[in-house]
Amino acid sequence: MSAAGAVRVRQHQPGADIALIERGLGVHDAPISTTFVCIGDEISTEGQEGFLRGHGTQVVDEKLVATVCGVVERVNKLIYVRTLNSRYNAEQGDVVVGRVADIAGKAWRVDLKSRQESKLLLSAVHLPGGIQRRRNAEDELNMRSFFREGELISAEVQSVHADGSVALHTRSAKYGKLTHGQLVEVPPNLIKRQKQHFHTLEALGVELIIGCNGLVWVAPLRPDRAAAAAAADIGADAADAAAEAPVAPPPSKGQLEVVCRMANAIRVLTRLYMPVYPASIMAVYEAAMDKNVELRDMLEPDFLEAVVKQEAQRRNSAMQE
Amino acid sequence: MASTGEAAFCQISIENDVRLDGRSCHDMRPVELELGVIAQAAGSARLRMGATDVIVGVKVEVGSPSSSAPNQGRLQVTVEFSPCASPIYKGRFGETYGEQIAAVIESSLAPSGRAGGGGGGGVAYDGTLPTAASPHLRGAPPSSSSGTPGPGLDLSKLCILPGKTAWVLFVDALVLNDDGNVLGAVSAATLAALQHTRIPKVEAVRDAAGEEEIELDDSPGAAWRLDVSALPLVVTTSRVGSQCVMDLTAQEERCSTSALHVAVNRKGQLCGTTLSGRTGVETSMLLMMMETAQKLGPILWDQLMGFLQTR
Repeated sequence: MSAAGAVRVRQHQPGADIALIERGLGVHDAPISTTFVCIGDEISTEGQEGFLRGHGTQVVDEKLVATVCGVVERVNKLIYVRTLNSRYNAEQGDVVVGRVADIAGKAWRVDLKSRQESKLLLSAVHLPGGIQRRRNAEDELNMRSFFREGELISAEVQSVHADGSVALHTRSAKYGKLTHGQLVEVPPNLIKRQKQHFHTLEALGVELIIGCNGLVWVAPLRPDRAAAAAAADIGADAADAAAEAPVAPPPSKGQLEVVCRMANAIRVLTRLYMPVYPASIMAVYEAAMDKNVELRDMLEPDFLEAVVKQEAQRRNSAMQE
Repeated sequence: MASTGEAAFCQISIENDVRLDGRSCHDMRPVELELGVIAQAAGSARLRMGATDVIVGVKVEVGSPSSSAPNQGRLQVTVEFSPCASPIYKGRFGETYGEQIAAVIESSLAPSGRAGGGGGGGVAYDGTLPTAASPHLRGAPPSSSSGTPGPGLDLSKLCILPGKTAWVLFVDALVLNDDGNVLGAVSAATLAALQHTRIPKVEAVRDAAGEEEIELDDSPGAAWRLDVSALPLVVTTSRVGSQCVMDLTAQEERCSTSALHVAVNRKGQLCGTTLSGRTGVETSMLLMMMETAQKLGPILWDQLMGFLQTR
């Protein structure tokens, strides 16, 4: 407690991360590619008699020109530019992690870090008691006892309307309030849609929720949440599971360190713009454990270089197979 | 905005010395400095501490000294919060907070320079920090006595013609992003900018009518630099539960109940203190916070000066 901590002062180097990645992957100058375009670059339409102009393009002086930076995609006759960094676009069935922004009418407005706030209707949550009944005025007045403003919840996208508005639901035991854990924000483009977004790593004692909207929740595994997740698989109700759960003890220092290392592993992947999914997170986690990297040094250039080298090796061996 | 569950987790993490990003309670985030970012200023620095981002620019102008100190130059500090620093700073909300930070920095750099302050004048103001509970800042007078040259800048070096002309230093800080520890970031960036400042040489000559005039030598080689060796740094120690924590992020700041901002010079001596927060602090806790700040201050000072002298 009385020991003074570490202090580091260094020169700010813009583009240091990119240089680090290029060095690690052995790519020194980005090759001129027709797939990557910048604002104002011409998109070739040779060999296509008619084409449909999609998002991110514009016709200037009879030439098709890109209006955003990104990758040119061609689907049948549609030509459009897909940006690498964009806001989250909801799709039905996505598991998302959001923060309650407001309570209005019979719905909560949830911020998904998308272009619009989404709605979680009162009729789309499980009421305590588990009975399916009509929501009355009393339920509406007690909405704050469910989810308050500022709380984090996990939910699933029920539907996306034509105007872009999103409706969520938490009609399963595994969805609901998220407490006692850490939230890490990741660009949504780095998260691929997968079969499972809820991961309970029992060996490490960590619960991981990878929201499709880029918000990743890392928390120490608590017995009541584990029971709820197991019960949800069987199809039992959220209320029954909650009634049986004992009060969880506060997490131990070892558990907190594991949670912190996982969160830092996700931050490392974000810095290096690598896809975030359980296998890549565990690869970075294990690399950090093998090299005995201190928790606070995981975002330092030394460890970042090691991770890039590991990824380069993995790609080489994958190509050779 | 954070939920109570996240705040509770944050607090448990701090109490177990494993903060959310893996630092221990006494670790600071790596500081990234860039000098000379504003070409038109006499000195400038941009400092990043994690996601907290501040720019400090120093301009020197020839002006008149204050009537209470005719043989000294003047120093004026302003701190502005850009609305992009955080959603709470839209409109004029950041003005009061900026004025409070500016007052702390100004009194640490030039304690006897405040009008009506006397030697080693105290800083006493009440204001509200932009938090939900509206705390008040309470000031404590610095420990230096009047008469002896106080800590901070030697303003007498900024005098040109006693009683008539002197250099006026305008230190302007702009907070671009607020992720906690803004006061510490502004203080360190101010030190860097002042060390980087080049003041043109002036000569006093008598012109044909016998009046004293000043001639400015604008050539870069003739500029001189300020002596920043006595400048203190403001280090913030916050209290979370029963722990003393340094360099909080914005999320951790919401869990802290009170914070002690201590101006420490490179020898570890106390040059001024300010207390902020919603609750009071017991004496034993206060002493522990001050000692922690006095231990970290010289380390940060040495690291900063070591970096600045190699540029």
